Amino acid sequence: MSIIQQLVSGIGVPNFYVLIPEIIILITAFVVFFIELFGKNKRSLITWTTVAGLSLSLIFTFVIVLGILNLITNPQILAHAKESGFYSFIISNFFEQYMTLFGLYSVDIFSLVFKVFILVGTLFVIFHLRSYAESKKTYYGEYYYLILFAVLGMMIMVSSPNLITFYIGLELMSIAVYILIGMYRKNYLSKEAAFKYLIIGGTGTAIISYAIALIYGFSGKFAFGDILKTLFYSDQTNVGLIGGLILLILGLALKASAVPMHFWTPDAYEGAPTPITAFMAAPVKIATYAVILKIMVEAFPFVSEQWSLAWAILAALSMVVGNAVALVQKNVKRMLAYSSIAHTGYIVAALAAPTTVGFAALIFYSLIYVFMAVGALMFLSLFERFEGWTNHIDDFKGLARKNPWMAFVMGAFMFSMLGIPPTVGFMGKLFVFLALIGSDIWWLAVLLVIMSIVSAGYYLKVVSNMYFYDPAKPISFNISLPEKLSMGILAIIVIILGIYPTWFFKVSTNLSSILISTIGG
Amino acid sequence: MEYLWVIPFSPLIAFIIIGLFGYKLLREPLAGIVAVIGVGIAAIASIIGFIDVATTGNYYDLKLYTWLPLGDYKVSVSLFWDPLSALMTCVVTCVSTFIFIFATGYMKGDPSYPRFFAYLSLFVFMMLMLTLGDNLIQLFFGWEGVGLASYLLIGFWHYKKSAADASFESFIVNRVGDWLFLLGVLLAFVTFGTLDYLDLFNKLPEAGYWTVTAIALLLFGGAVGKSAQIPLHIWLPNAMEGPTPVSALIHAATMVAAGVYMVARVMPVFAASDLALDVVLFVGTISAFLAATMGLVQNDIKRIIAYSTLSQLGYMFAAEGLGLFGEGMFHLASHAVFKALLFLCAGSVLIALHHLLDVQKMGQIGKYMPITTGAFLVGALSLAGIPPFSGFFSKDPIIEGAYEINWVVWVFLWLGAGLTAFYIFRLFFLAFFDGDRLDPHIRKHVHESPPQMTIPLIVLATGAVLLGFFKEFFANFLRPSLDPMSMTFLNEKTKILVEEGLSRSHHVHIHENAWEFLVHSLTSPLGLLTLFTALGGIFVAYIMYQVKIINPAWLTQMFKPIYLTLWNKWFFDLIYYAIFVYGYYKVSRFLWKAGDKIIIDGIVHGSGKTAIFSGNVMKLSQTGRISAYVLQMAIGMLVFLSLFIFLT
Amino acid sequence: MDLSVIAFWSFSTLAVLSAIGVVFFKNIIYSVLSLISTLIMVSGLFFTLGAELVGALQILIYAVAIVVFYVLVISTVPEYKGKAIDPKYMLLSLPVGFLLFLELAYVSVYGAWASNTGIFKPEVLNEIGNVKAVSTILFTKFLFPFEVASLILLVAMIGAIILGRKEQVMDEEEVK
Repeated sequence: MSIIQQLVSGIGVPNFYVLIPEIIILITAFVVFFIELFGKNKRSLITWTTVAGLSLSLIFTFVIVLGILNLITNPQILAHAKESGFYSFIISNFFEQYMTLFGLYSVDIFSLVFKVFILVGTLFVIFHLRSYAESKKTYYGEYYYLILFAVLGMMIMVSSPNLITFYIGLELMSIAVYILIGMYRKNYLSKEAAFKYLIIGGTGTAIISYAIALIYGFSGKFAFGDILKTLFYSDQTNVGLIGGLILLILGLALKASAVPMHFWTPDAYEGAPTPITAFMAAPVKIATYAVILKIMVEAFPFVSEQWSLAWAILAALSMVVGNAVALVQKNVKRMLAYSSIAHTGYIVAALAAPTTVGFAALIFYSLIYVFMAVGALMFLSLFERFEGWTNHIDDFKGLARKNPWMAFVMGAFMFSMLGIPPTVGFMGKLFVFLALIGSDIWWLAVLLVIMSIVSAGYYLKVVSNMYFYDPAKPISFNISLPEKLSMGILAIIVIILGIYPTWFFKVSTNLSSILISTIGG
Repeated sequence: MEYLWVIPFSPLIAFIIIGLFGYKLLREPLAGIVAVIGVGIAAIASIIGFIDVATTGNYYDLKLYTWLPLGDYKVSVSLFWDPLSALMTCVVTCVSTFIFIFATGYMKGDPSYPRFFAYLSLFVFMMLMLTLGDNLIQLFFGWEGVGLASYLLIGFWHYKKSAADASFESFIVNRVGDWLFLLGVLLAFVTFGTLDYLDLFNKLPEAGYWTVTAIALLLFGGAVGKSAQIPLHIWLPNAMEGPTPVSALIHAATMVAAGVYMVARVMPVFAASDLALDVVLFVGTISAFLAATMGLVQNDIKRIIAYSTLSQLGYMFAAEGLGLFGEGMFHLASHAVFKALLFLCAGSVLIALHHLLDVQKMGQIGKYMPITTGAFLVGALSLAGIPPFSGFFSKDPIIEGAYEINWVVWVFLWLGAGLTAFYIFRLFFLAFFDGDRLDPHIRKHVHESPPQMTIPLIVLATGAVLLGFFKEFFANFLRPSLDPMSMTFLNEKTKILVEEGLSRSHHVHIHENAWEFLVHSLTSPLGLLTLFTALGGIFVAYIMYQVKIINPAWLTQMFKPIYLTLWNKWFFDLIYYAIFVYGYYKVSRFLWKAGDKIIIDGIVHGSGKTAIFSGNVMKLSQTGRISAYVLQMAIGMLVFLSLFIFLT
Repeated sequence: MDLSVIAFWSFSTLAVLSAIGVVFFKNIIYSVLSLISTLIMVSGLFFTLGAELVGALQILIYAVAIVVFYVLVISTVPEYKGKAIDPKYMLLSLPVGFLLFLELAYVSVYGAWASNTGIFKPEVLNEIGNVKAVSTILFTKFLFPFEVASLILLVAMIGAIILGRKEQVMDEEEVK
């Protein structure tokens, strides 16, 4: 036996079953790629293939979730769990069972739930993409497989137990998104936005690589669990470690568009085709939040004092700047870009409280944020198709008279983003607030409250323009029933979750305790 | 007692039915009828429940479902039925029923008829969630919900710019109060670990004085916003832009009284802190007096009544601050009846006069509308506190109590009573009698309103006459909820604490029996003084506006500074505008300039428009923008790294 | 002086010089060419450190694939924009950049670094050679990132083609 054979003998075959959702996405991406190259009359085919791929992947994700849940509720295993202690049981099950690809890929409930929401958000985007692109005469089949590649990148990201996997997933996602932003080729703005994001995102990538290099230099490891173990035995105030950690946080903040790393956001959001903006604002964002949480909790729990302060500062800056600048925007799309910066602030504020409650609040807020963000931006995408609609705030005037259903839907999203009960946005803010005061971070909690009052200034402007004014422009709207329905579903989810957030809240709390219990696994 | 669930849910079902089928199937008369039936069922159920509580003296705490687990504490949707909530629920449902019936006539022919009744039903549902909850979270949800319904209804005629502005204003001002309230709720949760009233009350002795004070004051902040007390009162007069039944229901009888109800509901918390009670007393007294002075010079029929609402709510808060919670709640009930009556009369007048609001342009309509005039007179006498109308039995005990507890408060409340009598009769004489100032075109069409509008007036007027005689019944009825020694759900420690807190009112003796009270008032100097003050106010109004011995214009000239101060509502609106609207605008402008504009060299709304309109500007700015972005990011990184490497 | 030391210093000096060129050349094409030079010099550094394979990969992936992507994107930008330079931030950006550099240098110098222990012992490396060692680890443990990296390149290439494809763009119409 040669040395190489000795080296690889223990390595085994990866468990491909838990990778089925990702494999489906990959295959669909290539199928769409070839249809786009060689097919004829291919537009419906491309859409439906993509939808089928995403749905199939969604179904298999659910199957795996059920598998894991069964494992927990199975009496025999439970009995075993009681003998050996519940937490170690969860650790052993999740890690021995679902750590695959030689320890470079972990599939657990945490990543699976986020995958579900990424896929659902993407499905909504795909649903509205074609009519938008066709009405703007900027239809390209490339949209679809690039979105699929980006989704694959996100799935890899949230499943990463390792800085390498995380980095590679992030890059796959980012590069696909750079291109997607530039896809509105009739509009120079779009290309320019792509270019800007490419440059600034490249800076972010550089920052993250440098951070990974520093962290690797300090610990000699890539895997989160190994970094944690090294940290436990070494000097936790070492400059190398802190420098690496802070750079990593800054790089992640850039991807999550937190102030002061937010500068690409308004231009990229405004320049991109609107469905792509929705894609960036919802699935891409929550994948980023998930990975932020995962890295912070799984790799660096021993230096939580540093990173919670860092995220608190980033959150405070994002809230203040995002809301203040959003106030003076006249273009609703750009206003939503700034509002997404503010929302990043609200969400990462939860990291200022490094407790189970804080993590649960982050998970809860990111999950519900999908519905609001997709909803509000898909609304713009639907209306942008009509002649004369420019997303200007005055275009919303009198909408309630012309199209009461859509006005109601938009009203629900605006109220939710503002955080007024009975919409779910209120619940999100409430949980973040509770987490913050639970950890005695009053200054940030109070700032959050003040900033959400400030945000009323721009969200309510949209609502009052829709409801309290006469139509300013003679634009006729023609929105089909399925489109109305899909938007209605989002709005109703936003309201129902606001009235009954119990289930979502339980899921977030459980995810957060699973996340904590896997520390050191 | 399971049937009590019908109370909140029948208006909800009515809301859903009207919301789904309002425009397609039900349309004009039917949508209103569904709403009336919905709220009628709730009224009947609540009266049955009321009788049950009145006869047995029990309380019920029913939980429907667990809504939200917060650590060990589970927030549930629940129904707490004790004398206090029973009284409030009955007031809400019964007054609503009559106002709904009135509204079927008032809104006749409005294109948005079904929408109006959908909103109204939603409002009643939210209001009942507020009154019936057994925890502060549910109270808060109802609180927000009625705010939302009120916002929708103020702006109901959204084609009127003023209506849109008013609803926006009410929304913003209420947010301030709501956030204070929410902070209070959260502080209570952090302190006590529970938000159920009963657990919370029983844990009161464990908490420190200042914590309890902070909780009480924050909660009271919410009440100040919702009940439009000074300094958050500015939204209520402007809220009169909504349809009149809305003003009657939401901005007079029920929603604005929610603050008073909330303070009574969590009475032990307030009683545990004498500072909190003093603040309630102070704000209530000031509001009662200042609002009465503002009402003196208004010319808009609905705004005059709105200022009287502010003032009367001030009386209720003053009563609570004095420790006379039972009297405060009784005044709430009687006020709900006579104020709804006054508003509905105003609505009836407006229908007859085609929505002419200025009282200076009315006059002599009394003879065309006898029922409305009679009903208005009953309401006005009641408001002025003339025996034997209900306002006398509910307001005078507060004034007399104040005399025995704190004479400064008494002076303000007593003066306020005189002013109240004056301005409401000024309105009465100007609108219904006096000279003939009415536009002849309008005069031709003036007529009495249809029966579905006059019958509620008659019923409510009867209520305003009779309710006062049940003074003793209400006092005994409320005792298990508001008298610490009779509150069965409190433990001994809390009882002692609350008893001490309310000790300021222990030496006050007010006759509970209505007859005794009447006799006492007519014989004691204090009672006579109050009574003659009210009569004096009416008399002055009579000689100024009916007999015209004193010319109001001459008076205005004589006391110009005072007149201007009152006319400008003590300059509250102007000051707020200067500080908040203008200041807010300036600050956000500044932030925006500093953050975006200066650095990126005058590119106003991002690259969008400039890029399209001028290639040249773009050329210069675009590369600059990316450099600027990266530069700012680098500065951010620098600061961040230094902060964490060198400072922590 | 040892040959490898000379090589190290010359490669690193050239790498820094080319990097400065990337920043300061007025013509964007020159900048990209400098970038290629930088990347080649960095790969030279890898060679001097005994990591021939990484050096070769550096040339293949960065100096060729990614830079081609850059060139293609830049080729879609009108020429007058490619030459634009905006020195108004120089006053601020130079000191900020320098301070940032100092800070990172401080981190690198004063950080406590783990000893350099890889998966392979030196004896094993000597026996099987660099290429085999890297490929062993690359095609077993790190197979997954390797495969995904190929996807990234694919997406990047597609992107270069899509964005570089000539089409009527509003901007060009206006320029004429």
